Amino acid sequence: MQRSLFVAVSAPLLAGAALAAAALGWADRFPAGVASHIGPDGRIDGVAATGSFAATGLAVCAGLALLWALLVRSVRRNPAGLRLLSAASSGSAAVVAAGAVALLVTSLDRTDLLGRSAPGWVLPLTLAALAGGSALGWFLGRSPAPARTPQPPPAEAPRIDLPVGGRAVWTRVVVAVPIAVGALAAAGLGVALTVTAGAAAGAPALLVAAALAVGTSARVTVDATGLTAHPGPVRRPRLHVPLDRVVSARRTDVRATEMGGWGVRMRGERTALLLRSGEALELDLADGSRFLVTVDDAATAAALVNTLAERARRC
Amino acid sequence: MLIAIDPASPVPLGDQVAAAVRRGIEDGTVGPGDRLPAARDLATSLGVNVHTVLRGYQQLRDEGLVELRRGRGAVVSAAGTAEGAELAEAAGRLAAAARRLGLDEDDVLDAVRQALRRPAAHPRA
Repeated sequence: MQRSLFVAVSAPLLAGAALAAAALGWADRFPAGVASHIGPDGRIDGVAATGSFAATGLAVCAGLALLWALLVRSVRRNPAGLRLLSAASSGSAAVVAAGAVALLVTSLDRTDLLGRSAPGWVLPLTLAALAGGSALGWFLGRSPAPARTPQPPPAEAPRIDLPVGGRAVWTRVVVAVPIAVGALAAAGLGVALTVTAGAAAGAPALLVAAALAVGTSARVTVDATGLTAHPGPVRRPRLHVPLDRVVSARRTDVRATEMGGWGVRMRGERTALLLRSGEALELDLADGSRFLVTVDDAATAAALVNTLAERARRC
Repeated sequence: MLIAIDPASPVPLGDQVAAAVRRGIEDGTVGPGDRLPAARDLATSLGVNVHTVLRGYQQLRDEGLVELRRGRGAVVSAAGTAEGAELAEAAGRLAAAARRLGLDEDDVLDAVRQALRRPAAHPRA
């Protein structure tokens, strides 16, 4: 847990140090200054003095470090969230470092820069840095806490009656009214724009409507593999919590305001699939975090999770 | 909706799936317009053959409780209310008893008509 925090904060600082060192180390080799921006046509359309380039880069990196530190603080007891932030921070730092170094190398010993085309490798390099940096952060941010538990759920956790050898599945669809309203509003806007201003104007709103429509409902399933949630009409994307990570399950109540809105939320040690406020199934996980999904009849679902978890650990 | 089956029971697994869905309709956890889980997913979760689940769903369709539509899967029909499920369950019990007793269809229907004409004061005698 401490390691992912360290990665999330130090990656942007390292990137800032690297780009400042490169800019100042080569300071006397930029006769025309440093290219600071590449336009959409692939030509350099901005130039800065070496000092201000380094200062801006450092400021961006310090800002990133502060942003990721604040986000890390908000999920500090959730190893999965910390790992995600560690990857995101490392990826963003790598992009900034690679972009800045690419601009510096492009500007080396050049007497004119404005209007010249930038080398073709700048964009691929930046994308590779994003992928590589994120993967490195993901790897470094892995949690030291045990992900699995060998213990059956505590005796006081609710169970259902299931005969020996019996099999059971619990499944339920939960509908997100606010998201459905948003999807309808976006669809209406899209249709109105298409009619009044043409298909190109309406398309973005219609795309948003389609994306929201997929997130309008979710099917939540508990079976011997654990808990699975996916959008109502399609199987992917899906969230899955394997049964062997679950310490115990219970019914609880959660409000969207506690978690900062609807959708997949992370706050404190909790990760939630929150489609509405109210009744929710809550799982205590072996790594100390908790997973919530808002769904009706959560008491039955929790009892089945406990029953299946106990059964899996007794044999 | 909780769907529990017991492979050790003499009741066929498809019938057990149908009974579990009927209970879900009866206690209101699923109602008209609700979609049942995809047969393939349910079969995977329960560790049974997909045809076993489909047999259960077809039984519910024959009872008028669900509609099976290509591409849309199984959807609880307008008749899929608590009353509808109770009626289907009682009819199933009656049919099972008639088969056990070797009665033919007309005898059973006559018995039902007789029972319906009896005054409501002693329906459960």
